[in-house]
Amino acid sequence: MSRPAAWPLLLAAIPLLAAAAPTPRVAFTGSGDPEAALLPLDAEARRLRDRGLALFNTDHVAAGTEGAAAIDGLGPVYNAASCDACHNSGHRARGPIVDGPAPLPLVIQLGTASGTANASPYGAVLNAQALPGVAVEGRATLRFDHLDGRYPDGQPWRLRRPRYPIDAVARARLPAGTVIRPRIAPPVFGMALIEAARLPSPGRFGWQAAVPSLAEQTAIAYAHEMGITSRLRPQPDCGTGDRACLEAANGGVPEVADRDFDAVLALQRSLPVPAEAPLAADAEAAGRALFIDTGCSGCHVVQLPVDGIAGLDTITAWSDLRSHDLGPGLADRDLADRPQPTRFRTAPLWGLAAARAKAPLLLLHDGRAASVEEAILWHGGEASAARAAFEKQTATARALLIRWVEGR
Amino acid sequence: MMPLLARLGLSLLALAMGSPASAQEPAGDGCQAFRWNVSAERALFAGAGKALDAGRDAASAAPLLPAQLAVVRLPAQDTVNYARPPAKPRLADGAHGGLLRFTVPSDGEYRVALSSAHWIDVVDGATLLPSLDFHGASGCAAPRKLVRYRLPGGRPLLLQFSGAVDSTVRVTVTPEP
Ligand code: HEC
Ligand code: HEC
Repeated sequence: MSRPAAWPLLLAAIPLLAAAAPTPRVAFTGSGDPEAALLPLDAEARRLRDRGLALFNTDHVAAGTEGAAAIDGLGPVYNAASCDACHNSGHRARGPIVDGPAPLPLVIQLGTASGTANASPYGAVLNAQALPGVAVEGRATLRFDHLDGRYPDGQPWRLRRPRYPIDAVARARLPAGTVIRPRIAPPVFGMALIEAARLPSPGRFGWQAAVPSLAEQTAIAYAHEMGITSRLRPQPDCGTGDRACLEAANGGVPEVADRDFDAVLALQRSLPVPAEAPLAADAEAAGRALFIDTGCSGCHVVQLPVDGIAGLDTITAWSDLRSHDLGPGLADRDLADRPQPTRFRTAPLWGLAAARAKAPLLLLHDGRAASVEEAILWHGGEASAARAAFEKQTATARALLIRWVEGR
Repeated sequence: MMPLLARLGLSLLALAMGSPASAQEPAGDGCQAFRWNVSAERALFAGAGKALDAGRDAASAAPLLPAQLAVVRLPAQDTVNYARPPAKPRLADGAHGGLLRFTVPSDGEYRVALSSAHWIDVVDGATLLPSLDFHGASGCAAPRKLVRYRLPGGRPLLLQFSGAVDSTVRVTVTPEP
């Protein structure tokens, strides 16, 4: 599955925790980096984390596979056999996102206009893989066309606009009201900090901040993307009437042992946020000022209070972790191609420098934006004023702002 | 605000409705999904391969010839002593693994292609060689994944398999086209 590229392995990355210190950042090269831990781990915690890492990386297998009780129960319909297949050593999914069959880490969720999931004969996710002898639920194809525009100074820009025709569905038509919700696998570092953020309401995980806890998000991943049950999700994501799925042999009740579930949580909580790549001092200060003056920091906030981590009062995720309506351009669409109002979590900008080093960049909830500039130009709705302020800047100022964002 | 362009006919969702039988394989042949040029590998994987038994350690690693398909039997992973720990730790539960040795004629970029989802490492002396890139098609086994390396020519290297349950794997080493 995913392989770390040839990155320098920086050892002895010590977490920097001090009162009101900025977000602890270490030279995180990937989940396999043995020394990278957000918070110090004692021997027992280290063992749990290491087991979690192995579980995260391991391809799960069909129920009953000999000698594989800890990792059996995959499917029978699923999207990928391991967390790492989508979550790329803890980093955001690996590209490219181009015309053709939707790649495995781009998950097609199925919803309804009112926002409820599970309204389809395929459950919450269109599972694109299946065990031998079981029908795949369906697959999506990516088709891009272009949106062209100009900045007020005349400089042209171009965006790639995706559509998601569903190639085939196995047993039944999708109901007319179905909303197609494409979602690319986000990074899973800094999870302990997102858990600790003090927010007005519990939802914080996922591209829509709809999920309140890391445990819940992990249980959803096992059930929806891998077809594996856990203590929080005793059922996999079978569609209604999918007898083959509902009656399939199980790999234990639940399929993930509680201790292993805890290990996968421990691994995710241990992953630190990759280091920034700051610009030269003057440019760094000017870029940050532009980011604030342009109104970006209204949502991509500079500081967020956290609770429960000794010595840490605030983090800089460059996100309020709240959801906002960015307009019909980004909104999910129903089968008749009508945009449905959709709220997305302000995407944390931490880790962008590391993501850029692993180019191609896949930004926004479906990976459509291949650059920071494209991501900004997709902002509408509640972010219209900030987007307009960005467009009105001089080409030099825009370039500086983009470079500064690329360095987070 | 994002300007919204007129919708193109292209963008309508096409729901291909086959009979349940024809819908078994909605996306067609999984081996068509590669974005790399895999014609050399596809041709080798279509032929008969040379049977090999993977070694349980560096000393017993079986010889693999470049540009030839090998069909490799793997022992249970918990009986294998790797020359270096695999770069991606996975559980050994139910897994099969093992080692082969091979030599490429000259320095350059090569691909290892395999039929399974095993994690592979190439070991040069005491060092794990970093991979340059990888690619795969989960719906295909001929091959299923390819990993690209820059390899030193003229000296023996080890190829380590770990972390998947399959007890046989078909494998080739070919120059990057
Ligand atoms: C098939 C691809 C795929 C697999 C396999 C997968 N995920 Fe995900 N993951 C996603 C996608 C897509 C999202 C975004 C979901 C959303 O926004 O609703 C996501 C979101 C997450 C998040 C939320 C991160 C955040 O910033 O809020 C966590 C945590 C997570 N996954 C953990 C896991 C774990 C643990 C596993 C294995 C048990 C796993 N995932 C398996 C695709 C995958
Ligand atoms: C009204 C709130 C809001 C404002 C103001 C705003 N953003 Fe965002 N931003 C978001 C949301 C929500 C997303 C996620 C959209 C999605 O998931 O498709 C996002 C995503 C992004 C991303 C993509 C990150 C990723 O990981 O995919 C970048 C880059 C970005 N914003 C930069 C900016 C910049 C620069 C500005 C100022 C010009 C700005 N944003 C202003 C809410 C906002």
